[in-house]
Amino acid sequence: MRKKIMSAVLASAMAVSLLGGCQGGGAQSSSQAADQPESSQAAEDSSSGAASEAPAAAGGEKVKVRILTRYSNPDSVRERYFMDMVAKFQEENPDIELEDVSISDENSRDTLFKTSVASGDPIEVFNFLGYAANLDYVSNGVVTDISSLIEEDPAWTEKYIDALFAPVDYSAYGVEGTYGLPTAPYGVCCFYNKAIFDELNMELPETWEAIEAAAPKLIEAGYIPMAFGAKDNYRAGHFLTALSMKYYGDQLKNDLIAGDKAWNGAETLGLIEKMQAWQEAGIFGDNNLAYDANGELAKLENKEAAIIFSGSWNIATINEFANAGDIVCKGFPYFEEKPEFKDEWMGGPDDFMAISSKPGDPDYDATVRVLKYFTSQEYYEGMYEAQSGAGTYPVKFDETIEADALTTQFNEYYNKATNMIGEIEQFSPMTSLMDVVRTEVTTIFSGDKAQDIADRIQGEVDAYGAGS
Amino acid sequence: MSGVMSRKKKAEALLLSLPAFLLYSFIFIYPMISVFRLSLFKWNGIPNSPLEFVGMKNYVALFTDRRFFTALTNVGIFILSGCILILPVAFFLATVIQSKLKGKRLLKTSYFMPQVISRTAIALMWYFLLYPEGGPLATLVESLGFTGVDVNFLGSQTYAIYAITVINAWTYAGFNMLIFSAGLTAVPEDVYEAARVDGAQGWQKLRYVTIPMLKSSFQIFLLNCVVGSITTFEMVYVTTGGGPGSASEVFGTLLYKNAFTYNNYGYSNAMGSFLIVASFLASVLLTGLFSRGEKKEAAV
Amino acid sequence: MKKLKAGDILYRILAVFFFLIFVYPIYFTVVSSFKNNTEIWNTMFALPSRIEWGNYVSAVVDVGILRAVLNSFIFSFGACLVVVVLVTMAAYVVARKLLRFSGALRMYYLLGLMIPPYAMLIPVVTMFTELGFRDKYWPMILLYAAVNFPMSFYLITGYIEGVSKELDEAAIMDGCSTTGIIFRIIFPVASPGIFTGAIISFLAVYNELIFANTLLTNQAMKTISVRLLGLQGERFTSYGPMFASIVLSILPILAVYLLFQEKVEGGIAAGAVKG
Repeated sequence: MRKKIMSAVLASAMAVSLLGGCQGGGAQSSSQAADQPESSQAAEDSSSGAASEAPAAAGGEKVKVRILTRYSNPDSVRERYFMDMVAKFQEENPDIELEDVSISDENSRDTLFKTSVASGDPIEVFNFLGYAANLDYVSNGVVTDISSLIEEDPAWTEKYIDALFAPVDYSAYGVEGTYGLPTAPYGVCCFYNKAIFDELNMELPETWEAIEAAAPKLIEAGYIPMAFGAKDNYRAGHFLTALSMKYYGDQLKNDLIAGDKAWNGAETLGLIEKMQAWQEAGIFGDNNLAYDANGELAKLENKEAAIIFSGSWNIATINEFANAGDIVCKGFPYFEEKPEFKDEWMGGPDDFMAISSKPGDPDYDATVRVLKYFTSQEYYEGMYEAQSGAGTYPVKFDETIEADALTTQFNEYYNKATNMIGEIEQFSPMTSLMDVVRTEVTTIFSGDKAQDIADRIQGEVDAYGAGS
Repeated sequence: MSGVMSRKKKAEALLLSLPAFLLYSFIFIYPMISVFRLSLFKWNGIPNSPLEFVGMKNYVALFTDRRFFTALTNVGIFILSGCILILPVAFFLATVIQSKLKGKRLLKTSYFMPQVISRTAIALMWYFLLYPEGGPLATLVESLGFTGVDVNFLGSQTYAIYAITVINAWTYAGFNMLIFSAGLTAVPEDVYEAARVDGAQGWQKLRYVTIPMLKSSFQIFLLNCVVGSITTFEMVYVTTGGGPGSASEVFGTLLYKNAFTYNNYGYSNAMGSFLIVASFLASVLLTGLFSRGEKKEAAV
Repeated sequence: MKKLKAGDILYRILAVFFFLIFVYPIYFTVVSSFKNNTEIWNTMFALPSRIEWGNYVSAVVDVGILRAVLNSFIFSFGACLVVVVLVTMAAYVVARKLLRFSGALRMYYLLGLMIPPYAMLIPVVTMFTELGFRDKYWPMILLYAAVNFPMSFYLITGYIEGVSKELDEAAIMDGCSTTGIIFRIIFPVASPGIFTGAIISFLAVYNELIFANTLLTNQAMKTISVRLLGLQGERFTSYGPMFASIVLSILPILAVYLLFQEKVEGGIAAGAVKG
């Protein structure tokens, strides 16, 4: 032990002498020593400075505006178009620093938006989800009313389809104004790989009864009758709402939201039981929790899945498939026993482009310019062209492109829609309801019983009611 | 030493302590106090909407939430898996790197490697290893002839949490190996010598000499295991996000989800307070227990 | 030559078995990073039939993984440096009881050892946004320094207490101030302990996900953990670039580890035993 101390003493004595010793007296040595952390600090400063140098070097007058959408996947035509337009905006508007913080993953997007709001610095331009579920953001002034902007510049929005503004109209809650522009109207539909059905000499099944009858044959031939990528929990949410429309019209939605019917009542329970029975019959294939919506598309393209339930937003992407010619679009399957609800849809407007900057804010003018750029008629004309007319748009076009087969088929069904609603939970002011319903219904894929699922959802609704 | 000198020295000491004190107080302690305070309010995360004082309501909601009890059970599973999986493996690995085996350097490097890899990368790697459609595990199971066995562990309500504990064990075995390895180094050679003279061999040596000598290593392991299990988050968040349903939920994922998915910040802060108190108590109680055990032994 | 007993053989087999267990996931990731989508699955060991460099191009160009690696290093290195300087100063004062309330100060700092920092997530996020600290290097570095402060403090104080006071006294006789002692004597003498604190802080920051995921929104500021997490929803069907991104994120830190292997292992061991 003593030896160790001795060597330590020697080592440090050497260190001291190497450093020039301390003979110079307290004051001097302490000032010398103080240099050390300072200089290391300076080194740090310059390293962090280098990273943030870019905006500073480009001129101090730049206004920074952030934009948040769900578009960050370059494999999707629509998302790639958005990303290209961000680059184009940046080129054309050197005085604005447009920062694209978009994230495809819904949970990450939510976290990002909510943390920015919670910290009092909400993202300037963002895709607002509208509906009652997001009333809090409107009534607390996070989302800016853009009705006066629209009035000042009528040309900007004259081609918009008026009916799509309903989810951002909160006058029923005593809040006047317009809180966003619709960006992505959609309809939940199905895509069939016709090659599979031709091969097996089968008709395309358009009702649940027909799908139930066709499933054993498809399964035997090694195909998944209807791929269901439950890793994205919104898939289960979409499915439940679409199914409820085909069985009850929007009555069930109204009753659930008004509280007249419970989530574990016979109606909703019955729907979840149907899903469960189909899952057990192998209609959705297996390992559903291992893949997401992109996986559904991959299975359709790779000829593993005969049908996927999806939405109009994927038409342009499917058109890029090597076997796009094999794919056929149909409405979400209906019930032979409920012909009266055949044309009841899940769909409508979704994702509203909204702003959080207020008149008078230093970044307000820049924010408005960004908003107008990404909601302009030219923007949608470009998108229309990029997608070769595929899909659905919030605006009408003067010159129409001859649409591809899928879009034509989709529109054939879409135009017949007698009613259209968003996901049921969107109509409830209980913010957590959507995630609860989606997550719980998803558990049919991990073997949960329909009754337990329905009871748990109702349990959350009751707890929410008790808490508020 | 003169009074002026000593006062000057005191001032210097104060100045030297100040930056650390300020940093720690401002970024660590102050938010901690805020968590306790905010846990008494209801808040939807929107600055303009007022904080509504609700007293203990968030705690009532927390302790009556079925997901809280799922998380509690899962933390228990984590602790148990640490004791029956990580402990023996880490101990074994420690004996390997302390042995005179050829190539033990390479072995040590491989055992230790997970320590330097980002947890997110580890979770993703394992996500693909366990991928039920053609992933290596599925391929292995199939090539062994078990066709039709459901290998979708991360997508199973029953097995997801166990699958995560395996990933966790892979990640932390090397770390715990070092704890035991340090303990083994500290066992003086003459103790073994004495045991050998007494006729102890192999297992006996391990049972009656090595393990008792490593008592403090086991205590450190246990402390790390309990506190680490209570505060576990990343591994669950990246692999299952707490699902399917709420089957693999832990305290951390509940805190996160309630804030950023449910806009229920009061609940999240109540969970934060619970986490602070729980890990503090676990540390203090376990440390106290160990030192009491030592005193008793000394008395005997 | 001693005859190997059955137990010894089993022991060796087990040692090699665990070697494979620890190496295989890395092997699979590396091999898959050179394959196209269809070759990755339904195999355990197969090498790629054709090396798919496009995966790496995509990981660098589309995913921007190198930027994320750089960010992770900046945060880790920065926090490490701040921790080392601040902790050593504070630890010396406490270890040598230079202030009357040194004992209380020690307890105050050690309190943090028992508390998971992410429990404070919401107040920290709120505070950082109010102060405009998000997406900036310095505040994140300070946050990480604060979060890793208690552990390093514990280790470094312990180490300094083991350093003989004779050294300080000799320096004081020489007319050295406390600051001088810390930076000229304690730093070199206690460097093994300080290195331990530094390495533990470095790895903790390098692996951190929660704070980074909530505080870093700018693509150019994201760390490895955040970027890899974001890939899940983004391109879950193009697996090759994903594996390539994982490989690129592991390589640099693995290189650092292999370069300083003894020190990293020693540092972690010292930290583990004391924690």
